[in-house]
Amino acid sequence: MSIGSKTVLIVDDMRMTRLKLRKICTELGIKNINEAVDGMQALEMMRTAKPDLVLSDWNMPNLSGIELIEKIRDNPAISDVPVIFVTAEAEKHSIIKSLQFGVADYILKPFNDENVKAKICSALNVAIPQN
Amino acid sequence: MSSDVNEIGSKTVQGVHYIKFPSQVTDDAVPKLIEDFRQWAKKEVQVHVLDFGRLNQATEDFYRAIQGFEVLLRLRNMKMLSINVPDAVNQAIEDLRLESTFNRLQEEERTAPKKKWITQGAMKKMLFRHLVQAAHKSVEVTLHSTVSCDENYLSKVEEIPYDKVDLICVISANNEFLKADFRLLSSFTVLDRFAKTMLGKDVDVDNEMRESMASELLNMIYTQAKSALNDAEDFNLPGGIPKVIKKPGFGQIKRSGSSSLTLMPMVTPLGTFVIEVDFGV
Repeated sequence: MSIGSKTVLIVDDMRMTRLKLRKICTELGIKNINEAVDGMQALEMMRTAKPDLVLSDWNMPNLSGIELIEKIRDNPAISDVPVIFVTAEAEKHSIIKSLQFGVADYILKPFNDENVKAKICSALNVAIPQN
Repeated sequence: MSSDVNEIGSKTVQGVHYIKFPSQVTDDAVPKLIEDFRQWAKKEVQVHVLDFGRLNQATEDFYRAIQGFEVLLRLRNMKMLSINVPDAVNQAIEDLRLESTFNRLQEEERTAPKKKWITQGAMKKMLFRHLVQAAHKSVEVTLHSTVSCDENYLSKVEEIPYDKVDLICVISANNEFLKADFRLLSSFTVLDRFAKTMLGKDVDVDNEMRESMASELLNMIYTQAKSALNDAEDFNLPGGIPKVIKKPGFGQIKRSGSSSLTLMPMVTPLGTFVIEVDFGV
């Protein structure tokens, strides 16, 4: 399956970050990009369309990133969806907690675009497209 | 026999080395595992996390190999932590009397508040230093620019051009360790330049984007500083979600007097924004 046919769900309460991640995904050639403003909205969206990858913030109102991954893992219909945290939350216990819930990767804000691209491609199991 | 027998996963995630065990580890795999442990002990990480979530069958040699790994790590001042430990593995650990080796992560340990005695002056000094470092990193990486901040991080209230501030973002930290407001003050002009640098100069910047830009910048600066201090200094600073205050609402901010207020102007080639730390809230 080519990267163009993959679906990515971006979950962040900050619009600038959603736009920045959307730009990075678009540059990779991903066409199906959806956005949610918090974990609650993300779960709603995942009920109707299962994404190939979730890029999620940690600190969000309503339902945080760690609560979101917990609910994803508890739902057999979507439990296998890889989740990458994109967050400024860098404490070791947070990283360990996310590993407990099977996070695919952990990107610290502020982030470098190329690093994010590499981690998205690795989680989607595709090669990084060459320009 | 499960298909993942002896397939041990290893990856490093932000300074944490993560080892995932399969459903079964046989004695045949132990010599290779011991060699892997020797190599992994040389990694430049602070913590090695062992995930037992899938493991349901292993022999004593496997547990003894982990015991040796833990000794190697202790000699190198590194920590080992066991997560997702199933009942069968717990039982094996207890039968072999290896409870202290496996350092199993318990819920109460994860949530227990860290405590450290520190004078308020020393705490503030460290906090300001980390806020400045976080601002440097955020601006450099996100905006490909630089920040300079006064050596003592201080400005007087009368030196801050409050009349040019269009937007204020606030993170309120409130727990037994710290009670303070962290505010980011900026003009629309500066936020527009930041947003265009981040997304491209052809982007039409609207008010929602300006608010989000200010919120994300404050979020990155505060959360990075908080994470560094909580990890390195055993602080217990709380997390927080930024709140935006627009111009007609500036009056609701009760700014403290100079003894409780620190003003840090962050000067960048794209314009200046100010971080205010108010301990008098």
